Amino acid sequence: MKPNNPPPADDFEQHLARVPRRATPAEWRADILREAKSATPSALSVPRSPLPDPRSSLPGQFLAWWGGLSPARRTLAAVWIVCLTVNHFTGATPSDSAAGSFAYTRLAPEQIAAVRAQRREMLQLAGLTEPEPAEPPPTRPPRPRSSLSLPAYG
Amino acid sequence: MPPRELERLYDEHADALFAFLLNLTRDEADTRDALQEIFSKLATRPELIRGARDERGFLIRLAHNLAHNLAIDLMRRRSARNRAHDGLAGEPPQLFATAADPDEAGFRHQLAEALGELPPDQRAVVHLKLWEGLTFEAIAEALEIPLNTAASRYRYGLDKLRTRLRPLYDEIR
Repeated sequence: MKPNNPPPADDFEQHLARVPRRATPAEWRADILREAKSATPSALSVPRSPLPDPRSSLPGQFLAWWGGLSPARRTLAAVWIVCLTVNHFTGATPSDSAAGSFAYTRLAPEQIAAVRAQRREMLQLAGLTEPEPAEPPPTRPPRPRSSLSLPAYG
Repeated sequence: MPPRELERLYDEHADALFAFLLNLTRDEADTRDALQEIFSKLATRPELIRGARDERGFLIRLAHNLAHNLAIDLMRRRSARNRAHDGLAGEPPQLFATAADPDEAGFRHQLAEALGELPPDQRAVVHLKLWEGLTFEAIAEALEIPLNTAASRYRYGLDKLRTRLRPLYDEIR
């Protein structure tokens, strides 16, 4: 179908097109023109300063997000919020926490020596001897692959 | 805008805008408000129409947008009131000039009713084609739709009117 060249209108279509439309009520003219002339640009064309949308603020956005969650997700989110709040107010940062845990695992050499001396005293009091430290396994230099002997099959 | 210029615009275009708006809104009070808004806008921002290539096309686009917004407001009001059948289900508005011949008057009444049963998109295109005599290009431009959409909406709308009114038309002609 080519819209630019529609088929010629039939008699029904022509009859419809000939039905005269109703004119504007005459009394409207004076009223509409008077009101239009008295309209001030400030009332119509100048955009009003928009009122702050409650949803545009951070708490508003949070409440909108919160309201959209299912009860299970809301509970999970609440737990996270409590955890984050507690973490924030205790002042511990991840680096502090990491350093703290390291302090327990990495002892100074003098501390290690003190611990060993204490252990020796405990063993002497118990009448036991301290076990000899195990010898480290002998280290062999790596051999070239060609010198490896393969087991014989059959 | 100078008062003379505003009066000229009213005298040249008000009837067309009135008929188009009334056909879309199906309500005289809404049509009056929309017409007022158009001319108030022209009075306060004359540069809008001065920059337009085609005055009638520009005004029809403005009227269509206003009618669209009014229709959305009306739907909101209805859903708020939870009343789906007030307003449009009543008597159709008087879209056409009164006819002395009772058969023709009856046909025009039925035509107004049948137009109300068309989807607004089809009704707008049918109105502009039949009673404004616009080409599909002009309709597409005014309603900001593709040319083929304008043509197909007209064809679908006209077919519905034909199905609904042809028996009556055959009787009275």
